[in-house]
Amino acid sequence: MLNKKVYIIDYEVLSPIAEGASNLISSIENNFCAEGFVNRVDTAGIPFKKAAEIKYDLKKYYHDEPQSLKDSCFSDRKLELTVACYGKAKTRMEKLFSLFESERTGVIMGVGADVIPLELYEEEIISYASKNLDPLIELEFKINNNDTRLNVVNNPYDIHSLYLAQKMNAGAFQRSTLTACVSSTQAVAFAADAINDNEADVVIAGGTDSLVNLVAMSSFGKLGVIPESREAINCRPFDINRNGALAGECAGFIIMASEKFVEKHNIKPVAEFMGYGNTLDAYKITAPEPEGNSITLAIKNAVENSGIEFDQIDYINAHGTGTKHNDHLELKCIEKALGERARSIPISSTKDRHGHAIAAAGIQEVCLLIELMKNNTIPANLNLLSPCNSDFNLVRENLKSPIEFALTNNFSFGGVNTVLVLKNEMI
Amino acid sequence: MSFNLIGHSSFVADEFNEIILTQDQNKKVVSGTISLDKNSKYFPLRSDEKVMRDDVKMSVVTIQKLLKDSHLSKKDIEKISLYVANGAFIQYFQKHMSRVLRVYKDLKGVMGELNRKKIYRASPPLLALETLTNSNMSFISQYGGIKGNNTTYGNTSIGAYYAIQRACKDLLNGHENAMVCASNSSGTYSQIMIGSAMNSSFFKESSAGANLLFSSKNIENKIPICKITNMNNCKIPPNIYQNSIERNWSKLLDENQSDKLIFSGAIDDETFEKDFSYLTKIHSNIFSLYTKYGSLGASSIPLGIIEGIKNIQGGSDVIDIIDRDLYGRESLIRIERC
Repeated sequence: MLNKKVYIIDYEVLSPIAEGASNLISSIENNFCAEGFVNRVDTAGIPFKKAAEIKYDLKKYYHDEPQSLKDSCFSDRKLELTVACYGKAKTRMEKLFSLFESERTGVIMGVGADVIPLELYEEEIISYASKNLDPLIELEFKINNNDTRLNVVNNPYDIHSLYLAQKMNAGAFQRSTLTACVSSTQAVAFAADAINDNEADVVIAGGTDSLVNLVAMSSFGKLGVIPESREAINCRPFDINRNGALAGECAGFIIMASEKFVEKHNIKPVAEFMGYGNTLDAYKITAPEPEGNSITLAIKNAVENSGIEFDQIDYINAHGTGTKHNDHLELKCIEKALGERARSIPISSTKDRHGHAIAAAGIQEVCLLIELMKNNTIPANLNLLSPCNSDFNLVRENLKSPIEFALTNNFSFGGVNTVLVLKNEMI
Repeated sequence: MSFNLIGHSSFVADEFNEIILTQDQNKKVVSGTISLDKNSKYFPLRSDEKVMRDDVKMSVVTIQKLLKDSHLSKKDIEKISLYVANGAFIQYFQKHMSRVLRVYKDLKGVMGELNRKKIYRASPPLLALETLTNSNMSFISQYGGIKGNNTTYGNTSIGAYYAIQRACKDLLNGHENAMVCASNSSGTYSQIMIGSAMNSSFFKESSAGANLLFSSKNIENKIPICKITNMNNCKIPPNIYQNSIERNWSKLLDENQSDKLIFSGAIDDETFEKDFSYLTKIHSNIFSLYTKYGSLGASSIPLGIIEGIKNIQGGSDVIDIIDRDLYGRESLIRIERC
């Protein structure tokens, strides 16, 4: 349980449904769904052709960066998203960044698995293979050959937190949480702990990831997580006919600060971080524990650690991936954790709109939740036709209703469960 | 408050091979590989083993042994916080991609739908699981029964410092036990990552792992092995474009000199010699595992602590363990006899 107040004072996100946090709410209110045929990658020959892809230009946000970084951004979509997200935030937040004291500022980024962008280097791969050389090793060493610690491909994961730390003068720590779908959710939770434990006054917590590439779409598709693109709409969280997640991509971060920092600089926070629950299934890497005991405990712990009552929860932003395994179990666990109250709390997943950004899922949903709080909006489960369980308040149409306290859930492959509780500070 | 270390286990490389990595770029590595204890009753099931790196398999084996020796109850084990630090998450990526690469080699004509289909068919069905960044943590949880607060840090050596720091904070905040598990996988993926970042043409790296079990209380009939009494790290954000090494360890060290200084950070002999020369000027008794294993990546700091424990068991009182990660981030952990 936190014994000090921890606030969220600003945030930025690049999402498939919005170019920047300020555009999120209009996208939600207009029921924009980013699911569509992928442009950036040639999906001919593979059955997975649709994703929630960021289709706007990112380069405009990092045109002043050194060429070595631009080269890395070309090959590493996650890094491109991180760099562009900073670029997007820079002008608006410059004054805030100038208040950070290096030794009292840290960064924690949730980062997704590395992907070899085969599609970008096919000519070189074919050329090396024809010479009987190992194509991947030769290629990677060749393109990484520069005089900096920055690799063009295959960077250590900390590159994202280090980049942001260098930009924002964050010397206290630069960490990466690498726990798949809860990576950035944990980044937010542990950022709050770092402030609570007096390790820092300010922590930049965020995440970056992209599934929009051939290797990721093929491998998640073959595992049955992403459905084949047979229908107009493929992602239907909490629907009885749901059959998989929508591949997504995103980068975002929030600025979290201590009460002392907020008071000293006379800053009006947007939200208070109340608490979290974070558990392991100890079951299987491929499937959640069927009874959902650890998920239930994560939800319970999050609420208890926040010091709020069940009936104070105004909204749950569900993990709601649209997969067979997740959605039914998530509802069951919400009920086990919150009892009778679970059936009346508005619940929705927004992944049918912006897709599943894996390591950046948590930060995308936290940024979205703050915008929802700001605008008294509860979003509908956009593609829900036949609820898999009609006992719950699965929101069918966007509602105008104040949100004071809200939960946001994320659960990961390998059985890692992280739940956050936020309080609206804009009421 | 000090943090009691009540148990540890580890595994290190026992076979070392010099490998020419590239013809074109003139890169060589001495890679240390670990032997798998397949006869162990703790060895993972075949169905899990196929998606595990070697270091994950051995983490699962050594963690189970450590938990058994700890005599903690099932309920206590469930509540343990688990903080993992990992190196590269892919061991030999040629192994995963071999069928895809064969398709590329045999491709005829332009890259059209037919060729794409061949590549798709050849792509590994379990790749998402094989490269899951939290696979080590999840398998440790699965086999060890740990369900508590958790994360996986990575993937340079400072990840283990952050994991230990986090474990100690959990103890401060009321948790009874916390586990740190760090492991490094010396395979082609790691070699490209560190060899490129450090622009080194001949370097040394080994697979290895170490597990540390901490407790906030004295467990009945169990004397803590040692305690952590100081942790410190440099507070300057590194420059990702700079490729030179600055040595500022002296600023982290306590005025009261420890009995021994155990250091890590080099990936090649030239850097090691410079580290050694710098440290001999500020400490009279220094040691590094580099000479035997090369870089131990994410497991460097915990293995340094275990080496320090050997010294404490041999009569020393205070040991400092210092490290520098790929980006020049320096850290210090001091352990003392209980």
